[in-house]
Amino acid sequence: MNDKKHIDRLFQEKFKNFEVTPDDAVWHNIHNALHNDKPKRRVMPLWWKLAGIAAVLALLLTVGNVVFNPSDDFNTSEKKLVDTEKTEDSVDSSNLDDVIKSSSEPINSNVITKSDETEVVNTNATISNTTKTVNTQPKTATQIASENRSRTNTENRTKSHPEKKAAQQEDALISTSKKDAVAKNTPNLPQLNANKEAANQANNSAKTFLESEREKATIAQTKDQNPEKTPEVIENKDIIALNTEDDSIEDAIAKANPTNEEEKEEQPNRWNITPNVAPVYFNTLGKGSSIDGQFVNNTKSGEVNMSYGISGSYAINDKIKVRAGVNKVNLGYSTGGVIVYNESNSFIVSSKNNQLQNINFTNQDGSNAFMSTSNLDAQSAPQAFVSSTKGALEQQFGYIEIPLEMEYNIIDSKFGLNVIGGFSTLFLNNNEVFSVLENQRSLIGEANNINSTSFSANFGLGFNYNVSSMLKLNLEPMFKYQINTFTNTSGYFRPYYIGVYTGFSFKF
Amino acid sequence: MSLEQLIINCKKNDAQAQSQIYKLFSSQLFSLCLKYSKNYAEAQDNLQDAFVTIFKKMNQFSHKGSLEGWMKRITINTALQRYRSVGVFNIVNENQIEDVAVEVNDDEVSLDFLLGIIQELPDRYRLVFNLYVLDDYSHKEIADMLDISTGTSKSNLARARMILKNKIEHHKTRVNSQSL
Repeated sequence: MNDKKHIDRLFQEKFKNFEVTPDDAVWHNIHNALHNDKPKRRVMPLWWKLAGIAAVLALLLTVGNVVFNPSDDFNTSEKKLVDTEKTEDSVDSSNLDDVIKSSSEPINSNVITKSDETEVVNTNATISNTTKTVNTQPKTATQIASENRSRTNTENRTKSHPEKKAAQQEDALISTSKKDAVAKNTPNLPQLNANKEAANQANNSAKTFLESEREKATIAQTKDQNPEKTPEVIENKDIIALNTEDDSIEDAIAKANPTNEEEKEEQPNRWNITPNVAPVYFNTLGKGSSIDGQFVNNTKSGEVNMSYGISGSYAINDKIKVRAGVNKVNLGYSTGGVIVYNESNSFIVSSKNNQLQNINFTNQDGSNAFMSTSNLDAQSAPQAFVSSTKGALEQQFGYIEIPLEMEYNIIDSKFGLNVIGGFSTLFLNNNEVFSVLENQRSLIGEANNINSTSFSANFGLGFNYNVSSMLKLNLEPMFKYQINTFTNTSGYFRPYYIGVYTGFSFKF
Repeated sequence: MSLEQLIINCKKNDAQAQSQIYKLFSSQLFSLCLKYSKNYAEAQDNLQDAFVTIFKKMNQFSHKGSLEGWMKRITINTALQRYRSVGVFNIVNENQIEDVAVEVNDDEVSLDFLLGIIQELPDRYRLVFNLYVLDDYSHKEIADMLDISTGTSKSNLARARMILKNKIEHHKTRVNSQSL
């Protein structure tokens, strides 16, 4: 049994002074790993945030344009037809006032933000000034400390009300008295003067003091707002620092890698289920009509309907989620400037066909006929005819929507921001056309040119608020461009709809 | 600059201080990596990973032990981590065997040769032999670190010794026959 130690001792003795110098390449790799990866990480999120802001602006502008700029031909055609309707004009002018107001508001807010910025700049300037002056004049720690103490006190004096002064000075004293502990316990303070690498020892220690002092100063400033809380903060800080100090080396080593593994393994909430509800606004890009060629130039106004449904999502990783669901969506729009007349007492022999090319009528008696006002000349049309027949055609259709979308996470904190893209398959389940005449709405038939299956390309932004680890509030403005909706349209009819989807997400 | 000051500067992620620390300790830690790794390239990877961890975790170093000991432990842990994460422990018969007495005439073997045969050992034998013989860990500690039983640790050590002994003896006879 004694002999067995021989081999151990052989190795022990041989390896006692065993040292090998590694290649220089190793140090370069280490250096790069420690100092080069940080800026790279920051570039992407910044870019994405800017892109996100740009997308929000673009979306708001589109919506604003649709809402605040009703198409001009509506007004002109109305004027030609009906002279008495001046209420329309007054409404328009009030709309204009709204537009003017809303445009003036942003200017005001700009002014406000500017003044805010200048304030911020000023405070920054003062901070940097004080640090500079202390840097250039090396003093002992106590001198600096006392100087800072007086500074914080004077700041408090100028800012605070007289009755609070005493308490705040006390707080300031506490904060300064704790500075030594903090300076030792918070060793990883951000290095401000990175350029001065060749600074000597005294300067370095002075810097750490300065940094801690500045932290204290900011804490003291925030104390002006809520004086009770800050001592707790300081205590917490100390406790945290102490905890990190108390961690044994083994723990530190153990933390180095296994914690990463645990984090990877955890990721418990990959699945989300989200019931949602949304107002949806349907409209078309460009001029056109899905009903009949004669309505190409008529005014069309989208209607706001509701969509509701449920979707489930799966998080592939921190950034990307895939989601699918089922939504019921109702869409509708009305075509204005339509003349509805009873064919039986028709005194006009119109060259136009009284039936509409894309509508299957439910009533085959054919008592009503439809015409666009654009086919009439205000002068040539009989006065009685013009005054009695102002109407609209309202088209309603509903879909079962199966969306398949991806979310890319831009901001992930209490408030989150996503960009969403994908497509939906739409199955037609409702298809009706109504005539609206002097507030009377009657079903006249259904459109025969809507495809039973169509698609939409979806883009949007998702804002969410994490209520708890399980529950999230969502707000998602989405733009859905419809593809293959109609087989036979007149003019340039490109339907789309906008929905603001709101709902809760349940994670599990 | 004193070691204390270097540590303080390292905690601020100061590149110069890091470079100094690296110069002071790299060859010592590299030898450690060489013992725990299969080959030179793997040892270099190990050293690199270990130093990155050391500098990133420098804040957690609290002067309770020596910096050298702390760095050594991180380096060893990095080496073990490699085999834990890759999961390439050789499946061997874990039956308990008797400790084998090994007698070696130690004049005829070079350090390079010994390092070579350590690196040739199956992964876990190499780790257990290094930890127990060269870095003074107990079987209990080794068992915890490698997530094995103390019996397995002892058995692995005995097998490692056997393999090393055979290789040394084989080497000796070859050298002797050459010299004769």
